[in-house]
Amino acid sequence: MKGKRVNMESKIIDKGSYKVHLIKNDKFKDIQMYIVMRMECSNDDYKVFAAFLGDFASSKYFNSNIERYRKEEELYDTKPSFNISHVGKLLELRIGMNFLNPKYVNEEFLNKAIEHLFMIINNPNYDDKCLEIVKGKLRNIRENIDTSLSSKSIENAINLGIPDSPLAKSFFCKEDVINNLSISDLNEGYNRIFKNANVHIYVAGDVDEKIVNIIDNNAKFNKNKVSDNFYHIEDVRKNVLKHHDFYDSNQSHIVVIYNILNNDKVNNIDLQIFDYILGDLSLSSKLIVNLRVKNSLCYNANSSYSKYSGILKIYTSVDNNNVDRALELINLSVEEMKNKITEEELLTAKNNIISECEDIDNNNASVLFNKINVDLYGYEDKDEVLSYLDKVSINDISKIFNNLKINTIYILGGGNNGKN
Amino acid sequence: MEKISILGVKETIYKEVLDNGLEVIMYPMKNVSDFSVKLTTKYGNDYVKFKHEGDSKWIETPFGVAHFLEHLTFHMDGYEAMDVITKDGNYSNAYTNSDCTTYVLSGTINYEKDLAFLLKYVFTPYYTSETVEKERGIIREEAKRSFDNVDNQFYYNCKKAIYKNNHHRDYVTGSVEDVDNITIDDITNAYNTFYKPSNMFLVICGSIDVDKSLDIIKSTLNEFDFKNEGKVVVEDVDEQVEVYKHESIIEDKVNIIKTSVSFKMPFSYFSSLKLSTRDLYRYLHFIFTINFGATSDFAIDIENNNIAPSSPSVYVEIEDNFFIGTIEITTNKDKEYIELLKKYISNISVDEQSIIRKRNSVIGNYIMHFDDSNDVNHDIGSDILMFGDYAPDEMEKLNNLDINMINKIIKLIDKNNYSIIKLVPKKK
Repeated sequence: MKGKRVNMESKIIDKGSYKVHLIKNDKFKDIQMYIVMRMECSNDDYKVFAAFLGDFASSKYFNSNIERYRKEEELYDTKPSFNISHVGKLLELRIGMNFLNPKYVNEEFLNKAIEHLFMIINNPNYDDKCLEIVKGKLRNIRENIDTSLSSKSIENAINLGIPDSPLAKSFFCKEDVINNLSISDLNEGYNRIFKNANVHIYVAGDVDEKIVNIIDNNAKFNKNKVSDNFYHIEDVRKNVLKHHDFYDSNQSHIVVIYNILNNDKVNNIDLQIFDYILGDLSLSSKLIVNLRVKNSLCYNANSSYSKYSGILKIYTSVDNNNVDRALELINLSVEEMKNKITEEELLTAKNNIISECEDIDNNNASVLFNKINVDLYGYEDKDEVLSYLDKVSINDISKIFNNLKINTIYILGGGNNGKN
Repeated sequence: MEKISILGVKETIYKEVLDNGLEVIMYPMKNVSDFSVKLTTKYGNDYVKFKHEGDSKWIETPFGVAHFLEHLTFHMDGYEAMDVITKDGNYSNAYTNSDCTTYVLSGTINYEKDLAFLLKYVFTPYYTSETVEKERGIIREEAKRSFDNVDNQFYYNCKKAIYKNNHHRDYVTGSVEDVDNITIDDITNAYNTFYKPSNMFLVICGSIDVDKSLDIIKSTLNEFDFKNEGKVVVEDVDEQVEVYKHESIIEDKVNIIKTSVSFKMPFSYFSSLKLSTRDLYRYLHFIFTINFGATSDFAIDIENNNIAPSSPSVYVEIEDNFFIGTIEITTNKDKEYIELLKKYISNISVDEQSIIRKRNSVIGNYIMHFDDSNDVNHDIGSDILMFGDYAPDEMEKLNNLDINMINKIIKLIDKNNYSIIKLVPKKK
């Protein structure tokens, strides 16, 4: 049984310096909009992160952030979100806004909502007050990582094992970086992306081309190109890095990092299936079966991957006395991917991907996420995925094992034991 | 099924109480292909002493039994229930808190098959010493993981400052010692008492056929023989009106101080107003967010005086016969913050403009939740747990907030009955 399929009318309007992608549908009570800004990443990416931190703590048109938030409450909780990430060698700033379909409010609402968004993003005001807010937020991020042993172990593993990876650039919140941050850094971060980024605007909902005019009356972007080749190729270690930071805790947190060799050539869907079977299928994955179900060693064990950065990562937390056993079982689980994948596991993974595909059209945000992945990052569309699933075999998935090379084994925990 | 129109959003929900006592609520959605199913038993970690009405003997269990039982429910004779649903391409999980345990099913395919299976596995207890021991090891690790979690420890320390006796103080997993002491008898007693349709409700939202779903539910449950042993009585815990500790300081591995201020407001404060719990809760939500939330004058002062980089987070909860209003922030300028907060506490008030602004924000979110099967399922389930049923007239209530009533409520709040809890760095 498959879910309902709904046709959505899609249109691209080229405005010269940016493109607007309209996905018209009257299924939902909201309108979702994303401004996707992409450029090559650099060592100064932290300045862009800082400039758009949290909810973008500055605007010339408001005396305080609170004044801005009050305006957003009046607009039925219409507020922008700012998300920065690395996709391989690219830095992406995704500005999102989700707001009510104007038919629930009034005709002018659409205009007001979009004007509000651009009023904020076009008019930053990086002053001393803003700098202090940004530094405070960065310190809170640092604190959140330091007080979560899972996050801390992952950050430490990435910084130690793959410091040149784009993934490491996201972990920039260090005390010296925060202390040295200046107003000119924030301006530089803002200007760098606003001057150099390639821009696409995606809108889904009950909208027509009127929204394009409203956007065009407010948008100020430059025309820029971005490279299609954004794969980061990670260097392979000659010897595996093994590192244990002792820490006074009830559990030890284990992170194992693998390189995905030839990541630019590995099939997207094969890799997704591989990850599902290894560590992302509820209680059925190999990691969970080996560590939790058969041996009661942990509550959670999972894998995740970044195709564009060429990294696969495994994480679990276990009793301090069970670290060696857990590492053996992680290794066993990965080895089982070579020649012990069953038809049942493959079918389970396929069914989960089918279910995900059927879920794409169930809200405007998901419609746009999928569209952006297909248009800008070369992912297969829903029909291509479904048709590929019909023919994929265990052999296709097992082959990925040969592309994995262990890079780092990192452990945080184990008690103080007089060590640090 | 009873058809109930949701005012202001042109949506309909369906409700029926089955002969076996199970309350079923359905919200069919035309434009989506996914579904969200939640089966909830009104049994959580609070319930450690209970009996059937008329029984002379109370049953007592350690803390953590509700959570242990949740884990064991997924074990079937020779297979795992979660595996079956995962193989079908759907998601299944469960969670336990103080007053309920909920089994979750969601996805886009194989709905009818997995709906029937969800009912089957929850109503088919299967415990052996082997499965109990296997889960005991896993739960021990889950508990230890949560003891290493600073936020989790802070949450329970806040509850321990608010309450002297109430079981919200106690870990849902139980302590490691509790986990070690739980027996099959404890689990069986709890299951037999609380896992029966008359103590449970089922909410289904999404791409569903209401009649067909009801047929599946009825025919699946017809295979079971549910005994009617009468109403369950849970021992009331005597809890004082006053917060247990007005100030407490906890040391942990943090660098920035976290401060939580919680008002303890027994229902009895407001009994003279003759308002429903739902109406009081709504008004208290407005009072707390308008006075202390992200758009309050208090938040402006925090920002202008550079006391903290972010506004406080503010929420109101219902716990047994208490409303708990909490204001939380992370800042090392904790003394300045508390001084400022005390000034605002002594001047709690609302004006028309703030009410309109906050109402718009609440309405925007309320309407958009109807697009998401999980959100609306959560809203319905929370309402049933907190207020006994789901109200179809929330929009009307939001549009008719009464400022005079808000002012009466503000007068009845004891402005001194709050607990300040600080999480500070460990002394080296």
